[in-house]
Amino acid sequence: MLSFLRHPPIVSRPATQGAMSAIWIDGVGCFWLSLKDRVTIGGPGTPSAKPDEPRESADLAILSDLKQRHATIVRNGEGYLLEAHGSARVAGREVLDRTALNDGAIIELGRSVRLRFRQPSALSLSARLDFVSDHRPTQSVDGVVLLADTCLLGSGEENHIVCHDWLGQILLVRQGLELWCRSRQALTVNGHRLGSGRRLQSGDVVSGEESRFRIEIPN
Amino acid sequence: MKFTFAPESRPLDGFTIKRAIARGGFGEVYYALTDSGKEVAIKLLQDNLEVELRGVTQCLNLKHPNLVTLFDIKQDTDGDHWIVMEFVGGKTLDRVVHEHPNGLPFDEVLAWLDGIAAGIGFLHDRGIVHRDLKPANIFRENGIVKVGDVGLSKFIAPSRRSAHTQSVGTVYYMAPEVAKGRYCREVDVYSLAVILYELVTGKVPFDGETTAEILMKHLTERPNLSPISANLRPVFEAALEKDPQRRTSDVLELARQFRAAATHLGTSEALQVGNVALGTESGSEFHEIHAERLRICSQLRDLLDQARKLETSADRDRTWSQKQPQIVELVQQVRDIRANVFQRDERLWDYSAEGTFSSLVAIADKFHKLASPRLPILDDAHTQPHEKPAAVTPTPQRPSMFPNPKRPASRWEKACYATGRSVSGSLSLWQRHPLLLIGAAVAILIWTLPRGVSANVMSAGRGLSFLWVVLGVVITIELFRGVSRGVDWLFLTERSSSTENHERSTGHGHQKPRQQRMAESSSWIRAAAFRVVNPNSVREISWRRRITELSGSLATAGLATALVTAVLAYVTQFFGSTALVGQFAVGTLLGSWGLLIVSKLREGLPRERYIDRMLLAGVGVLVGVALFELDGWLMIDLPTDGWSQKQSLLAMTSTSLSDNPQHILAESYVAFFATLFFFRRWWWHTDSFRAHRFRVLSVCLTAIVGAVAACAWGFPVLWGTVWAASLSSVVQLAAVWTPREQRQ
Repeated sequence: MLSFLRHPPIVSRPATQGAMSAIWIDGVGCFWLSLKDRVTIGGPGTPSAKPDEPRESADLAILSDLKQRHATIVRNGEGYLLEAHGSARVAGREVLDRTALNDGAIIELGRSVRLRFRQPSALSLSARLDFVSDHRPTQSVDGVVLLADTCLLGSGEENHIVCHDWLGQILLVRQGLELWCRSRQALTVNGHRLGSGRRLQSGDVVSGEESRFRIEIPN
Repeated sequence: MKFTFAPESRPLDGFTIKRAIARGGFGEVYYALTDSGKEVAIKLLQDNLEVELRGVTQCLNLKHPNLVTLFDIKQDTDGDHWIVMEFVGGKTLDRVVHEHPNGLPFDEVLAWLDGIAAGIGFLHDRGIVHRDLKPANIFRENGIVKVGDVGLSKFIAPSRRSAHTQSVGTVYYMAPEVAKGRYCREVDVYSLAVILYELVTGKVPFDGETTAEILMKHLTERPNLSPISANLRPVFEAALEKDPQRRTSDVLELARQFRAAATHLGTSEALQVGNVALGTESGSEFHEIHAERLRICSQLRDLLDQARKLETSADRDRTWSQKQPQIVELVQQVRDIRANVFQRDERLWDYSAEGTFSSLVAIADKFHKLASPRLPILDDAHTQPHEKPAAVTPTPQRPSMFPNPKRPASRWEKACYATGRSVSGSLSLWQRHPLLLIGAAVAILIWTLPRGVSANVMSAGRGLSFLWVVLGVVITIELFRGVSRGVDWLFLTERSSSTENHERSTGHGHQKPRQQRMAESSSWIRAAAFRVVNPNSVREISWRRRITELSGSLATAGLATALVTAVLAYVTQFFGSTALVGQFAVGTLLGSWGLLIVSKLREGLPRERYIDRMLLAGVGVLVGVALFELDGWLMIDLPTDGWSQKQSLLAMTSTSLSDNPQHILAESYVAFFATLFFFRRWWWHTDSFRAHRFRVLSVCLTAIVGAVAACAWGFPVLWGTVWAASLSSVVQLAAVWTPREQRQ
């Protein structure tokens, strides 16, 4: 009846490697941001036969002995589910088909990959995956933010990306497939003063008094 | 922290800086990728001294798993030198110490100590002294401890750098003879002992306000070893010796001594010595406990495996209920083991045992649920006595909030009305949910308080200025009204037939005596109240009744707000995020409370419509300010819908339009709510003598006013419309309504 009130549906992009945005934060680390409602996790996959064809791999391809598509993390309206396609355990229990993910749950994939699922902020549906075992994607990544609505950056544990020694908080807000940046402190984007908010484009460098980060958004 | 090089800059050919890592004593360190994707850490040497470069060059080909590998030294176009080295992820020891303010668990201390000692021992064996050993330089990745900044710390004496530029972080770990310019390998022993002291206790042995103070303590003061257990004290005494000749000579020797002393700690002593024993244990006891833990864990795991086998076994002939007794038996065994362990020593029960235990209980739970339908005995015996009574107990008959208007009023109700008491049951609802109101009030207080006072004052100032503008508009319109009553449509007046009747009748009012007309007051409508009772009817309402009805309405408004918000959130998916749900609910609740309070306090009094409108507009201003503050606090963006602020009236009044169309200005919030509250006759929504309990037409009209106000003030139109409609609905649902036949 009130379908006109609905937000435009979120179009998910094809799963190619590098479909995630990356945020490089000075003094903190590198985090990946995923806007998709379904994030597949798997091993590095095999290079495809044709050289020009993109390499088939999971959204989060970890250098490990996992299957190419080992598990999928699905976001629905209220929370997150883990769908297992290979052997997976959540909080010590075998996942036969799918299971709900709660804050702090340890996801064990295959023989040795361990991830921690965190939903640090009660005000946001966004979640974060921490690497507990020493398995990483091809480059070192400190965590993967599953960005539902907002991504908080700040010094407290309630932030999706914990930036020790930061004084203020910066907020990344999702508008469809766009990312906006907001903060209470004075920020500059590529040297220009940020007003009350701004849409981030790939390669933007956001600087605060003590903070600086660069964001890379794939096309 | 500000860094010289921006991300993506390429000071060195072939390396792209991705982010800064840290600033060390000798320069800035960046994380960079080579063109082929190899990750490296590159360090800019700021003081470009020949002697320092020679030190690094010496170490360039050293290989040890516990040392950060140096790849190369390169010079950029400006002539600055960069060290290219292995990138080590993971936490620095500095961060780990921060996370354990009372000291690290004992096995962690040993793991770090062994790694550092092996790396530094290797350096010493090659004739090199590290000289700048500190937690910020020590990493652990994939379980391997790595010491960084090898070969970099040539001369760190405070005499060379002034005491101000010397970073305090270095001074904490600096041996006393460094001040005299002596750098033998005992320097590293001393630093490692300080680090070890910090790992064990969580604090450095020599702390102070200034660099000079700390240096002085290194030179003169004896370390306080009281937080260290007695067995370990000689080790620290020898390693923190001021005179390098008398100090422990070797890091490996220090590590050996520490381990030996720790391993011989007695049980009772390990428990009473401060931080070493915090949450962990020491020495031989540590090994005993560890072995016992492993034994218990393997026992538990066996039982869990049995349970899992039962859970997944495919034998179809045995139902869940047939398998259940076995599971119950397994759980009982585990419970026995646990009770036994707790009786002996609860430290034997570690996290992994607890994890296994809860997994088993979870399986048992599942069996219980699956088996229950086939196990009626268990059901009757266990679940029913606990669960059934709660379900069977009849819920107390609550007086209806909305009495059926078709039902003739009971004698009790009539009596209530006669005595001016509330009949709506609002009092009992209020009594039942006092926490509802208190909770909401506290939430609002918390939401508004944390912002800086200056910002609040600024918003309030803006709000007041808008109120003033609205006042001006009203006065103008009122003057205009005197000239022509044609502008009445502006206020979207829902004229009741009574008003029109009355206007017709006053058309003949010329014959009435002048005094009588004066007595009736200038309000024409009031005269009509004698014939048809409506919200304009003047009547006496006791304060007690007002307060009672109001508190009931406020509580109901909370419920209605929750209902409306829930419907919007779950049926229409209106909100993009949880924070938006909060913003909407708080707005609706605050707005409806404001409307209900003003209307209830003005109910039955001679209607001065502009006083009412002004009061309501004032409430609108407050609501707007509160919501703007909440918006800023939650840092949310209402979804905008194409109607730009630049097209709105706001462009004329405000000079500081936001460059972000997503950001709603304080002016927009305040003006929208002030306008919405001013241009509707809200007392027709809230008065107990309104024509209908709930009028859809009112909701629609309010929604239209909301849409127009939103357009006018650059507020999101969709949100403006929905918010207006919700306010109208909530207020009508919450306000007390008296059926027509009971009105007096």
